This record gives sequence, structure tokens and C-alpha cells, in this order.
Amino acid sequence: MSKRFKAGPDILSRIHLAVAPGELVALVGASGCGKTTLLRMVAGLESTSDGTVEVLGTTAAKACALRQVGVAFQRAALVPSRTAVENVQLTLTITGKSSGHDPAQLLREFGLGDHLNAYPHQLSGGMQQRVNIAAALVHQPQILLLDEPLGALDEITRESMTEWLAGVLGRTRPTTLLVTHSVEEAVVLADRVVILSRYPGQIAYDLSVDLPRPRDIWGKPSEEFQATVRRVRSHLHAVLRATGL
Amino acid sequence: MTDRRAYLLMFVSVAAVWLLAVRLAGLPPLTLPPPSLVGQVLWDERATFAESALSTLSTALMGYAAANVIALALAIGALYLSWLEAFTTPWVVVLKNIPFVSLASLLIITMGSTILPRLIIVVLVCFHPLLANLNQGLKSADPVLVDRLRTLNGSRWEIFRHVLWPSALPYYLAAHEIAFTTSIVGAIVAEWFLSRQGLGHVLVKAMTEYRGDRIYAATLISSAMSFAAYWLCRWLGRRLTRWQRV
Ligand SMILES: Nc1ncnc2c1ncn2[C@@H]1O[C@H](COP(=O)(O)OP(=O)(O)OP(=O)(O)O)[C@@H](O)[C@H]1O
Ligand SMILES: [Mg+2]
Repeated sequence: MSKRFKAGPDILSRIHLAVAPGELVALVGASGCGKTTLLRMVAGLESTSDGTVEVLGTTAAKACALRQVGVAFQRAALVPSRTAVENVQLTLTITGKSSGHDPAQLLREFGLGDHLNAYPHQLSGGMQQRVNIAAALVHQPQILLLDEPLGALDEITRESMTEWLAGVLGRTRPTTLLVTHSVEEAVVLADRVVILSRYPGQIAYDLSVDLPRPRDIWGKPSEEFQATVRRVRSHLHAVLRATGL
Repeated sequence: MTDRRAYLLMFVSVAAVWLLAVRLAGLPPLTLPPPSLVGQVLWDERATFAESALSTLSTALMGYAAANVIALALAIGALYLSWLEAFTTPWVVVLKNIPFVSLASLLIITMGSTILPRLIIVVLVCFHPLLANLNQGLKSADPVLVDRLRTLNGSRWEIFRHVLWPSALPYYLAAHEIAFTTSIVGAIVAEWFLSRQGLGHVLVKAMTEYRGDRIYAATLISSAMSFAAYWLCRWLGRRLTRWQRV
């Protein structure tokens, strides 16, 4: 499918991407290449200009009605008048799901045990982002869309959150599209890394990551892991050079 | 607490300036009455003043309630009916820009001295800040948050209840601080023009009779009412948005 806004040029062009159930695909590419737009289209928030988006065997908009979609956007989107735990709870309230994770427990695992009853304005950007991810996961959706979910986190928290995400995603295995700027993060988490080029956004490379799990890399990265990171990075750089960045 | 001290300082200064002015100006007591004389007339004519104040307050409250209903209906309606805002904006803008003193004059010659024109005037003076703040508050809702709830298949009502209304609430409460006191001023002005009752009427009558003491007394009462209204709104507003300050 492809995407234009109004009469503008194609933002995304001839995107053909199939994600198998339970698969985790990482999307990487230069800023402005259309990663967020792609995610919004899968979430049913943006229409396609040509072609179709199929989610759970139906259209993207109808898939949301199944309440099987979880989204964490680039910028944390929390209700300012609700505490951290209430914000996570809201997902369960709206989807009407009583199963799923326990909001407080989830936040504790995210290292926010001391901030359960804090309001968003009392949390740092990285903390808000963690609440945002918790709110996307808490109802255990089959489809998970994460737009640079760890973007505002410091290196250390990022590493532990990546590990934690790998753990939770490994257990529940939602079908996941993950946008990230970090090649390491992509290689730790993903089954495939898709590299987008720019103007228009197209799939330049679709690289599979065949590394055994769990990929505990922060301690002692294996030879294979480092080789994969190098491979993805060199492809990414080739794409960036080709589009003039 | 410095808040409270500042108010205390103001009241003391006003009293001091008043007393000083009475001493220095040497005007006749009924033009510039000393506080004691105003206290006297307040006490002697307490029944009339209470009745007038009550009448003014009830006009203000009724008009204010009507203004809220209209503002809420227009603001919330515009969320779901895209034509509504486009249709009503010119009316709102034009009405706001007709000097309401002219409107008041128009209303009295067409409707006479019934309660309806008074209510209309109160609605006209206080409805605008309510509508403007509600509109702005509803628009201040985080669009990304709205999108997130949409992906969870949140209904319009859920999105309104959990996102739009909480965003609008602080704006709406701030509007009350302005509009509620304005409604009292509006009621007094309306009575001034077209009524045989209320504090506005007391003021007109006192003025024609050169009764400065009554003018001061009515002013004190109406200011106190307006002030009380302001504090009530503030207190309620702060209670309802307590999360903002924790
Ligand atoms: N609503 C919109 N109307 C018009 N153009 C838009 C709109 N949203 C995005 N675009 C354009 O689409 C392109 C892709 O935007 P998008 O947000 O998807 O990029 P991105 O890959 O997520 O970038 P980043 O890594 O910086 O988040 C940009 O050139 C942007 O200007
Ligand atoms: Mg983006």
C-alpha cells in the first residue's frame, strides 16, 4: 500500500509487509521516513491512499473493535488527572478486560513501584513513557504497536527496559511492530528488522534475525549478536547514504 | 497565607482611606458618608436590603444557570456536529460586540419590566467566557491520547468522559471565577434599567434621592456577594482539580 497526505507526494510507497502471528518486526529508518505514519495506518488512525492494510483478517479499523490492539506512541499520551496506575487501569476499563496483567504489578516491574500514585506531571519523561508502554500492554493485546517506546530513556534504564520487554513479549508473544532508532534494541527484540528508505518511504531491506533467545547481550554479547548488529548497521548506513543523510 | 494577608491589608487600607477622605473632604454626610452612617442604614433598613439582595442573587443565579446550559450545549454539541460551531460563531461574536447597555435598552422597550429581559441580560454578559473557555478546554485535549483510546475501541462517550471532559474542566472552572461574579454585576445593571426590585433598583433610587449612605450600603452588599461568589468558585475549582497541585 502507499500513503499521501492530501495532494502531497507519496510519504510511503509500495509498502508490502506481512507480519506473521507472534512475530516481532522492528522498523528502522531516518527521521521523517514515515514510520509513525505506517504505525498509525496499522492502528486504523490513518487511511491508505492505495492498497489495503489487513489486521487480524479484517480492516485496521475493524481490528480495533476486537480490542486486540495495543499502542504506545512516540510521546506518552496519559490522562493528566489520573495517576500512573489509574492510567494503566484505563486501558482495562475501556477494553472491558479483567484478565491481562495487574496494572500495579506491571508498573512495579517497570521500576515505578514508588510512583504508582503519582500524576503524569510528577513523573519524568522516561517514567511517563514507561507508564505509556504499560498502558499499551496491560490488556495483553494480540497486536502491539510501539513507536520508539524507549526513546526518552537513559542508556541504563533503556537496557533494563529492553530486557524486560524481551521477557514480557517472549511470554505473551503479541504480533508486534516496533519502531526504534537503536539497532541494538532492534536486534535484541526482533525476529526481523525492516529498514525504510526515505522520499518516499519504501522497504529497502528486510533482514531476519536468527539468534537464539533469550538474547542476553548487555552482559556479554555473543559473536553472532555483534555480527548481526554490524550487518544491520551497514545496511542502514547504505540506505541513509543513498537518500542523502 | 500571604494571600490572606494581602487581602487583609487591602481591607484595612480601604477603611483608612475612607475615614481619611471623610475627614479631609468635608463633604456633607449624605454625599460622602462615614462608615458608621453606612452601618446604621444597613441595620435600619436591613429588611429592604436583604430582600433586594435576594432578588438580585436569584436573577443572577437563574441567568447564570441558563448561560451554563447554553454554553455547555453549544460547546459539547460542536464536538459532534461539525456545522454547529460554524453556524453559531457569527451569532456569538456579533452579540458579544453589541454594547449590552443598548441591548438592555432595547429589551426594556420591547419586553417591559418582567424577569425575562433581566435574565437575558445576565445570560448575555456571562455566557461568553463560559463558552470560550469550554471550547478552548475541549480543544486542549491531547490528540494522541484520543487516538490511543480510539485504538482501544473507546466509544465517543468514553473518550469524552475520560479525555475531553477532564481536559476542559480546569478551563471551565476558571471561567466560573470570571462569569459567576459577572452574572451578579449583570443582574444589578439589568435591575438598574428595568426593575422595581433588587440592588440595582436600590442604587437608582438612592441616586435620585441623593442618599449616599444607601449607595454605599448597596455597593458593600453587592461587592460582598460578588466576592463570595468568586471565592466559592475558586474553592470548588481547587477541590476539583486538586491533582494539578499535588
Ligand atoms: N498529518 C500529516 N499531514 C501531512 N504530512 C504529514 C502528516 N503526518 C506526517 N506527515 C509527513 O509524513 C512524513 C513521515 O512522517 P512520520 O511522522 O511518519 O515520520 P517518522 O518516520 O515517524 O519520523 P521520526 O523518526 O522523526 O518520528 C513526514 O515528512 C511528515 O512531514
Ligand atoms: Mg515517528
